Amino acid sequence: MTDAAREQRFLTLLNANLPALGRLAGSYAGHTGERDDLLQEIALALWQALPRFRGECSERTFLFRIAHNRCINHIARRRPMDSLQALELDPADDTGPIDVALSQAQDSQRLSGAVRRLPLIQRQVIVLALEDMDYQEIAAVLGISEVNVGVRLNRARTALKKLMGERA
Amino acid sequence: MNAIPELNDLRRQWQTQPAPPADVAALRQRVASDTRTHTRTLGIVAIGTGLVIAATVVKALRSDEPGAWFGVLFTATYALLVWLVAMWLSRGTWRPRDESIAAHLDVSIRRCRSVIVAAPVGIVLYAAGLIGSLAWRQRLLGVEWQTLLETPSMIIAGWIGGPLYVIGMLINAHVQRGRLAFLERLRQQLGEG
Repeated sequence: MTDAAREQRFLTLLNANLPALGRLAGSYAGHTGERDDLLQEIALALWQALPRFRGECSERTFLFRIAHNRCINHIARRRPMDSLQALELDPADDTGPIDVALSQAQDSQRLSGAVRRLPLIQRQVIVLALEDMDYQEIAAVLGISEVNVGVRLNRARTALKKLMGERA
Repeated sequence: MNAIPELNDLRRQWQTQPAPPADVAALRQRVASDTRTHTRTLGIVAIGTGLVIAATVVKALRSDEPGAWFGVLFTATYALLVWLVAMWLSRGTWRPRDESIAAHLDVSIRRCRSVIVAAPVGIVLYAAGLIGSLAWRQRLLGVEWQTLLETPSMIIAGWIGGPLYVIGMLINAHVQRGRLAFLERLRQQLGEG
């Protein structure tokens, strides 16, 4: 791949997927600055990995696989105790339900906050599902079976339900 | 009752999040800059090694002592040894074998283990380098031990640099042990059915 072709492919992929990558990065970052830093790390990883892309999967799958790996590296680089908390955070024993009285306009923020509080293995699956990926694509990105995707997704939906709150 | 919306509703909510600024030009510059930094770092270390060896050669050329050439041999051999050990310790840590999460975790774990092992190895090498350089000067140049221990280079590299190096390596190894525990736990969880 020539440098020009690499750059063209890089820019095309990045431009087409920037909003989705931003949401993905946001689900692993505590604030906007951290999300933007993570986004830049993803871009760097994409640039470095592009020459190794051989077309075994779709470019979108390839891109999200890289992005997920970078996100895992990102949380792994945090202080060990922070990382363990991020790994083990369980909605069942976390703080109470998010305030459901938030207005409709805040739904996406509420959802985003709830997703960030999911355990890692559930967060990975739900974020990809929310980006319109089917079981096959999610399985390809995460390197797990489609059955496993289904199991994790169901658990994630249950956990999300708990986090977003059921209130009489 | 405020039931959780179905997945399609969640998708709609999720995808209405404001997108990050599409500053692709800045991203590209950062990418290019980081790539250059990686390459330059390795280059700088290689050049530094070359300069140290060159300095000992110049010193030997200006010296009347035949033993000065042993200094060149010692420095070159020591530098080669350090590079070989560094290469050996960093085997399998350069890049993941593919783009899978398992491969990335594997590389991260290898890097942690590499740093942890490098701490005692690096300390031993550092001490060996100091002792070796003092020993050959004492034997071949006939300089007294007391004099050698009070030279500016020994004060900087030995009395000050030595403890700092040891403390730095031990702290880094401790940090990496914490990270390694996390990564191994992460690998275990991600591998769960």
